[in-house]
Amino acid sequence: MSEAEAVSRFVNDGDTVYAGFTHVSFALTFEIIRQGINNLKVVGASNTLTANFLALAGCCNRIETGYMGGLLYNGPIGEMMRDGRIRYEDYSNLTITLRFMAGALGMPFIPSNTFLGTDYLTTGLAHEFDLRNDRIDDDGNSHPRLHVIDSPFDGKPIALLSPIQPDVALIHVQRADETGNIQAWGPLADTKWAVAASKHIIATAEEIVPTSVIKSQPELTIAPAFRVNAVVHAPWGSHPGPLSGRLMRDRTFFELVGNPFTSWENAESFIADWIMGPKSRAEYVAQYSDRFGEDMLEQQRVTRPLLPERPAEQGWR
Amino acid sequence: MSSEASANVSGNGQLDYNPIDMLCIAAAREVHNDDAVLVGMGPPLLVCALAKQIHAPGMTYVTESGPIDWVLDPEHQAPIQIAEAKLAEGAAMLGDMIDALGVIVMGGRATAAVLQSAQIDRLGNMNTMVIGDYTKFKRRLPGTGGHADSGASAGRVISTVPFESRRFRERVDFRTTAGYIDGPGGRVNAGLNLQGPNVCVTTACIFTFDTPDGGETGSCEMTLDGLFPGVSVEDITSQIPWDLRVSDNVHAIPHPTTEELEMLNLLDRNFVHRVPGRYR
Repeated sequence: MSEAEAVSRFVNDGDTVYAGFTHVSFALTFEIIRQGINNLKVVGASNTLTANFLALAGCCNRIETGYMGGLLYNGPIGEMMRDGRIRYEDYSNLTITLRFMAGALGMPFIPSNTFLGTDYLTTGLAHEFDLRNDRIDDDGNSHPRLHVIDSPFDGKPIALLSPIQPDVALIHVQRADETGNIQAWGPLADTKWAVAASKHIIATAEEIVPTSVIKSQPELTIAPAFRVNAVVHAPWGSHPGPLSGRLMRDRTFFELVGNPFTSWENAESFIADWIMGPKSRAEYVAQYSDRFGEDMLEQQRVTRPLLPERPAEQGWR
Repeated sequence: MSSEASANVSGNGQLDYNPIDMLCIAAAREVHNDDAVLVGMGPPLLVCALAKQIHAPGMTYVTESGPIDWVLDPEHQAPIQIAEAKLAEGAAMLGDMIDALGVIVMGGRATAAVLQSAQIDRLGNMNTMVIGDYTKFKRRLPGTGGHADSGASAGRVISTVPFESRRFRERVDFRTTAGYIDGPGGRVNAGLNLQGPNVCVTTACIFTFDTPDGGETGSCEMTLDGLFPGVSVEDITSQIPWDLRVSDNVHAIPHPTTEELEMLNLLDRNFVHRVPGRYR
C-alpha cells in the first residue's frame, strides 16, 4: 500500500491520532498534510514535531501531550497556543502512557499519583483553551479531565485519569511483513501501549521482510497482523528523526532548510518545499539526495549496529 | 586522554572551570553508588554519567523512554536526549515508559531522580511548564515530560537550577512537580510518600530542605547549606526573593578534582549540556 492510500483510507477529519515519541512516521505525517485532513487531535507522550508540523499546516487544532520540545514557543506554535487556534491539555509522559494502557485494556479509568499536590489539579485542570468539549457525555455534561478520590482500599487521595483510544496510530517501524505484522525495537517509550489502544494502526516500515523473519524473533512484534490496517514500505520514514539501529537524528536538516518552527515564513516555505513538493517518502529522499548529496543522507545511517551476541532461541522437543 | 578533555590550570594554580561545571560536579556527588536514578532531560544526563564514571559505578541509570541500567559507550560521551540511539547500546534492559516511569518510578523503586527545573520555590516545588500565568503565558516551556512523575514518587530529588534570581520564587508560576507542596505534612495530605533528603544544586551553591523526615515535620523550607568556592552567603541571600533560611554551618563545597573535571570535559566535549553563554 502507498502512503497516500493508507492515509486516505484510515485517517479522517476530526480523528484523534497517535504520533510517536521514539518511532515517529514523518512519512505519514507529511502525507496527512498533503491530503489536507483537518481538525485532528494529536495525542502522545512527547509528540513534539509531529503535532507541531500538523498544527503549522492547519491539520491539527488539539494536542494532548506530556512534552512539546524546546524552542518552539516563541514562533508560530506559541502564537497559536496563545490565541486558541491550538487547544491543548498538558499531561506527563507517564500519565499519557497510562491513559493509553487504560484504553488498550478497555478500562474506564486508571489511577496515578503524578498530579497530586500540583497545579494540574487547579489551574491546569480547566483553562480557557482546554478540551472540555471533547469530554461531553450522553447527558451533555462535560467532565473534568481527572478526578481525585480517596482510594476505597487505603483511604488515601489518588487521581483517576481517563482512557485514550486513538482513532489511528501512526508509526514508523524497523520492519514488517506483507501480512501486517510489525516489529519495533529500541527504547519504546509509549509506543507499545499507544498502538495497543488504537482503533486503527498504520505503519511505515524501513524494511519489508518475509514472515519467516518475523517469526524467528516474535518477541519484537508490537502488533500482530490482525490488528494492523496498513503497512507502507517507506525507507527513511522517520527522517529527520531517528530510528533505533538504523538512522540517527539529522541534526543539521532544519538549519539547512530553515527551521520551520521559528517563523511563519519558514513554515510556509518548508511545507511547500519538503511536504507538498515530494509526493511520497521516496520522492522526499530523492529530493534530499539531489539537494545535499547522497553522502549527506548516508551520514544519518547507523554505522555500527549492535547485533545479538547470542540470539534468544525458541524451540520445542 | 585527548588534549581537548584535559582540565586547564589557570595562572594561580587552580583548576579552570565554570559555574556550570561546578553545578554538574556538585550534583554528581549527590548520587550514590547504590541508587536507582531516574535521569531527567538536559544536564542531569551529564550529571549522572559523571557520577557513574567517578564514584558511583554501581548506580542504576534509568531514562524514561525505557533504557534501564545503562552504561557509557566506549567513546565516553554523555547522552544528549532521553530517547536517543546511544541509550540502546549498553543498557541491561530496554523497556518502555511503563517499565521506567511506571514500574521503577511510580512503583517507588527509584531511590532518586535528578531533574532540571526552570523555577523552584521556597518549599521545593518545581516548574517546567510556563513563565507567567498558565494560559496568558509570558513564555511557554516544553511541559513536564517525566518531571512530575518523578517528583511524585522518587525517593529523593536532586534538582539542578542555574543560580539566577528569576528562577527562585516564593511560589513557582506553575507547580508542575510536587516538592513539599504547602509545607510539613503537605505530601502525605496530598496522597504522596515522604521524600528526601532533597537537594537543589545551583551554579553557586547547594540548598537542602529543612525537614528531618522527608516532609512530615520541620519547616520544609529551602536552606542554604553549601557554597561554591568564592561565593559568599550574601551573594546568595541577596538574590533570593524571600527571607532565606541559612544553615548554622554552611560548608564550603570543595573545588572539582582534576579527575572530575577531566571526565566532565570528556563526557560533554561538544558542550551540548554546558552551552557556552547560557549559564553565568
